Formats: sequence, structure tokens, C-alpha cells
Amino acid sequence: MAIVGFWNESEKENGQTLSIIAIANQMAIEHNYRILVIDATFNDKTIEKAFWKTRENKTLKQLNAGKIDVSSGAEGLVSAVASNKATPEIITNYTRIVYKNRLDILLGLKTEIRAEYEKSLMLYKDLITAANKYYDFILVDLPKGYSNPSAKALLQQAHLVVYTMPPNLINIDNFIALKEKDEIVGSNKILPLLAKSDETSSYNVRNTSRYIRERGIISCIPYNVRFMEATNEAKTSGFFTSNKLSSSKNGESFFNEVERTCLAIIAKLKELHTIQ
Amino acid sequence: MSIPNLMMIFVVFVVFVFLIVRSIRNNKNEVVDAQVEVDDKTYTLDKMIKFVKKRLDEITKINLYDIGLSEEELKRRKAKKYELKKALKGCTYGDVNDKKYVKELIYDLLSKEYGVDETNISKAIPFDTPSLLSAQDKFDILIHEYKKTFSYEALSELIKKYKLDALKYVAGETKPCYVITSEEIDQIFEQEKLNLSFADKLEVVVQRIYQQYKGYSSIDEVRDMNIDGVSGRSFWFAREFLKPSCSNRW
Repeated sequence: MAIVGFWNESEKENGQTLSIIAIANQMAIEHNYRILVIDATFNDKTIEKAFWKTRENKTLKQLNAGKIDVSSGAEGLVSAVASNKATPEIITNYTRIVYKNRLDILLGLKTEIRAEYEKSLMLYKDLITAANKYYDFILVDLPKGYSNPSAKALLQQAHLVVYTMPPNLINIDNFIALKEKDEIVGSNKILPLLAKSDETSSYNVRNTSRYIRERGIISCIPYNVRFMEATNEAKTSGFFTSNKLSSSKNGESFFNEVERTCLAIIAKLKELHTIQ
Repeated sequence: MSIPNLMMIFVVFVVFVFLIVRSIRNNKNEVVDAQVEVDDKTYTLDKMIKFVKKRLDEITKINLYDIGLSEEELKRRKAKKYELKKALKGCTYGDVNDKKYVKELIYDLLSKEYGVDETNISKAIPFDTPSLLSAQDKFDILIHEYKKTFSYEALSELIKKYKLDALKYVAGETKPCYVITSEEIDQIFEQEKLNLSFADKLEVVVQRIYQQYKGYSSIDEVRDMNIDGVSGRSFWFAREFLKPSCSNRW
């Protein structure tokens, strides 16, 4: 139904992936949507590590050693897309489940060769088009910057682009400059998001909103130590399901802000007439 | 509990433990077996075909119930396995999409598992030494390169560009005939001066493996082109230039 891309012009670390993880969890738990998160980044396992631990030397694995399965994840799906087999139902077979019928994740390409990655990324447009028929929301973790031509095509395909920026003056100034000269960032389908924000910082969400001359307060994902730890320890889903019941004051404001961001995304998509 | 009962329980327990340990040991051996032993013949086409056959057989026969998956996960893995089985069956009937799917899988198996790379791919087809390439090798490379630009019109474009459909006299024949000779293919290959990347080379190798394993031998690519048909018996080109094994009539 709606394709939401998360992107930043700078290729440096800016909290883009962690923002997707937080928003996807919140949307899946609090809103009745079927969500697919697509990791389109190169050689980055942040999303996988946020949800699953890599298990080695388990007895069951030993029992099946020497036997391989059909290639899974993005590689398998890219093969299916290349051979015109990417029906919406098939796409779900290559994803991993976080919450049944709520949140699925298509992990990134495993290749460490840039050329191979870029070749496969060219097929992501078709893959997303097919997935869009099955899921209500598709959140895409896009490759940062403009260096990849396929990334630009994916940006153009997205109904809404969430521009994530850290509380850093250079990044914020860069966003202001891009609003003037860039076709996509200057368009109506951009939603600025302040990642890793801190109320005590000079670049908190209020000051940043004023600085970039946005009407109202922009969306943000606050910096939260517990959330960061959970993403490192593959406990993200547990963090969102259990901490909601007994959240501290700091935790409460984190969840409130994530929820506000989710509502802002939904409102923006309604404004753009992508969803009803 | 009587002593014979206890003994029976003990025996059953020992047998159970023995079977589990043996199964794990056997599979450990399989892991060692799965690591490709590299020798002079490892990267020849015959060895690669054997490997692909073995691997695809394993993939389609894997017992998903043994892996300890959740219900949903099992359902999805079963669907994927079914999709592959369907493609392996469909490609033998000439389904182009199934063929692409199986070729993608063979490509992944060779590059990621079998360890085919820039240094050893020439052992399968001598890409680095054009003088050692057979007419079939050259034709396969030409068709692969033309297919990138002209898709299923590749053969027509090749024939049109080099006027291969002209009536000509061939040594040993009294009447003129429509024929594409291996000399013509050699000349075209020289004129084209193709520069193949590793991915291109591997795709040519994959096609060769596919056509011998699941496809229609030497006419496999020609058959997919937008042409009126292929006849193995009356088509001298296929009989003499390619391989004598093709006798299918389409």
C-alpha cells in the first residue's frame, strides 16, 4: 500500500537503521498494519543483529550438516525476481518473521562484493512493487548518499522519504541546503526525522524544527540506552513488548516520541493520498 | 520394576544414544565432503555438472522437519522447496522463467559454494586463450553477448549483421546451401573483439552446464530465440557445427 524509504545524503552513521527498527516495531505492535522491512544497504547486519542471534554448533544444525537449503533472504528473492517469479505470496517465503502477520523482515544481501550488490539492487524496484501488493507498509532502509544509481530509482519509487539526520549541525545545514537544490528533498514527500535526539542538547527536536523552519515539531527518535543495548543483544522485540508495561520516565518519553513519529508518517501518507 | 525391564530400558537408551552420535558423525563427514577438494580437474565442466546435480538433489531432498522450525517458518521453507521443484520440472519443458530461476541457482552454487573465480574459470572454458576455444564455445559467447543487447532477437541480429543467411557453396557439396560454418563463427568472434567480465564468463559456463543437465543440449539457447523453429535433422548448422546429439524436432 505505501512505500516509505529511509535515507540520508551523507554516507556517515546517522541513526537511520535504528530509526527504522524502532518505527517498524511500534507500528507492528500499536497499529494494525502488515509491515515489511527491507534492508537494501551494503554489508550491514544491524537489522539482523537487532532481532536474531547467530546460533552456531547447535545439535539440530549438526544433524542437518552437509545439506543446504534453497537460497534464502534477499539473494533467493533476487533470483525469483530475475526469473519473473516474484509474486506477492512468494516474497513472504523469503522474509523472516518478527511478529506473525504483522512484521516481516527481508534481510540484506550477504555479498561483500560491491559490484554484485549493485547488480542485485537493480532488481529491488520490481521486488518492492510486488511486495507492495501484499503488505500495508514497506519500510526500506536505503543505501545512503547518491553514489548508487539504483538507490536514486528506489528513492523516486518511494511514496514517502524519511530523511534521517543526527543532532549534528553539519547534517542539519546539509538538509537545509538540499531542500533548495535537490529535487527529492525539496519535494512534498520528504519527512525530516531527528535520530538519536536528546532533550538536553542544543540541537534538540524543538530547536532543530525552528532552525530548519518546519511548521510544528518534526519527528524524532530519542537516544535511549536501553534501546541501543537491545538492538545490540538481539532483544529488540522483547524491548518493545515488555518494556511498554513497566517503562521508566525516560523510557516512556522514548515510546511516546516513536509513536508520535509513526502517527506523523501515517498522517503524511494520508496527506499524500497514499493511504486512506 | 524387574531387572529384565531395566535391562531393556538400558539397551534401548544405549541404542538411541548410539544412533544420535552416529548420525552427527556421519553429517560431520558430509561437511568435510562438502568442502570442495581442489585438483586439476575440479573446475572442468564434467566435475561442475556432477557437483550441481548433487547439490540440487540435496536441496530438493532436505528434510525440513529435522531443522526444528516454527510452524510459519516451516510453511515458508516448504513453499520455497516446492517452487524450486516446480522450476526444475518446468525447465525441462522449456519454460523460460523456470530456466532463468534454475540458472540463477546454479550461478550461486558455483560462485558461492564451489569457489569458481576469475583464476579458475578458464579451466572449464578457455576464455583466456581464444585459440583453444571451440566453435561452440565461441558461438555461446557471441550469443550471450548479443542477448544482453537484443534479448531473444540475438540470433536474428547476428545472422542479419554478418549476412549469415546468404546462399553459399561449401567444400564437398555440389549444390549451394544455407549454412553457418565454424570458420564464419571464428571470423565473427575475431571481429567482435569481446571483452568478457567474470560474471559474463560464469554466465556462459552456467548456460553450458544447464544445457547439458536440464536443457536441450546445444540447441538450448537457439530454441529460446524468436525464430521459426529448430530442426536437428535437416539443420546442418546444428548437426555439424554444434553437437551430433541434437536430434529434436521443433
